[in-house]
Amino acid sequence: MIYKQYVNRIYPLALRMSGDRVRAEELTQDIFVRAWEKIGLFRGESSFYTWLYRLAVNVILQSERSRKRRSRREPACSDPVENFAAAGDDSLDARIDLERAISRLPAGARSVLLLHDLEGLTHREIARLTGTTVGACKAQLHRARRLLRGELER
Amino acid sequence: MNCRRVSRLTDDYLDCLLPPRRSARLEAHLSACPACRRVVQETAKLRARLAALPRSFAPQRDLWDDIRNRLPARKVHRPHLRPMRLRLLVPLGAAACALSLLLFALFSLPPSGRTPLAVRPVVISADHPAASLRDFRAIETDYRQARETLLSALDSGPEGIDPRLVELVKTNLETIDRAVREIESALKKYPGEKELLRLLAVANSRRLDVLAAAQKQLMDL
Repeated sequence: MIYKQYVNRIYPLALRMSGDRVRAEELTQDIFVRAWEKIGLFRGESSFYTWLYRLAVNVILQSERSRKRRSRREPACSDPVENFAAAGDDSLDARIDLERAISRLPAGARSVLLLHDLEGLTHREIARLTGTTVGACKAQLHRARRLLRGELER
Repeated sequence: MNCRRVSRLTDDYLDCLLPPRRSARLEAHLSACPACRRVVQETAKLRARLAALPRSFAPQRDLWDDIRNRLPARKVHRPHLRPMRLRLLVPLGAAACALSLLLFALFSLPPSGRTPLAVRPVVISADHPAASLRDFRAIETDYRQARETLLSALDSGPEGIDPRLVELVKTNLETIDRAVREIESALKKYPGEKELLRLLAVANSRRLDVLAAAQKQLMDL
């Protein structure tokens, strides 16, 4: 089943890009509902995960943009780190600090940072997905890394 | 190269996007500037930490029930239905439901391009309803024979056959056969109805896929 196979990849993306657990659950639901509606458009030109992943990024970015229009950076209503803690790692404290610092970044910078440094997308791909230019994308990445370094140094 | 320029190029440098000559100039600056070197080192460390974050973990609660509850409410483009066509909705709906139930189950079967046993391929075209139906009925006997042969082969429980696969094949075939019966019965009421012929074509193709997948399993044993 598509949900069972991919939820563990889609949910972390939604969680990190939204910076909020409740919001990430809503986004994950939106993504799978949208995938169900659009499944007829999948032509098999890429792997199913690639198709789903791009759809997921689009859903998240669209949703975050309209949310931003509704209100300026609503405070997160749940701590995203609750989830990350369950994923298990040697340096758990350091990772929790990092995840928390990421969740505090401004939405635009956070999206670019995650898509580039965590998901491995190129600037060109991110620019296409976010509807910006490669230059703007690089500037956001630079800003995100600078802010993140500052946040972690505190 | 000054510190300001280095700061602007640090990301491209770490992402290996700088041309070699510019990288060399930047490195020359780094070797002489501890402040810039520290920033580059920290950024490199940060990139490594980000890349090492887990990309796969489950949500705290299962979201499937919520998703499933939202699926029937999805928007589907529906062409305007003339009043006469409304009467078709019951048989069409039943047959379409039966067929749509197969989707996930069929995906789990191995693909096979072969035509099972002696079932001849048949083209069902909405443009030639009478000829299509005639051809379709002509292969019914072949299909039933192929079905019986394969099911009895599966039922004999050859070594290595997964009982879940046997069950899956039977369930799928029963569902498709039921859909075919409903479509045929609807076609008697509305002869030549293109949507029914399309569904019949889908049903026929699906049941041949199931037989072919079962046959492949048996042959691979």
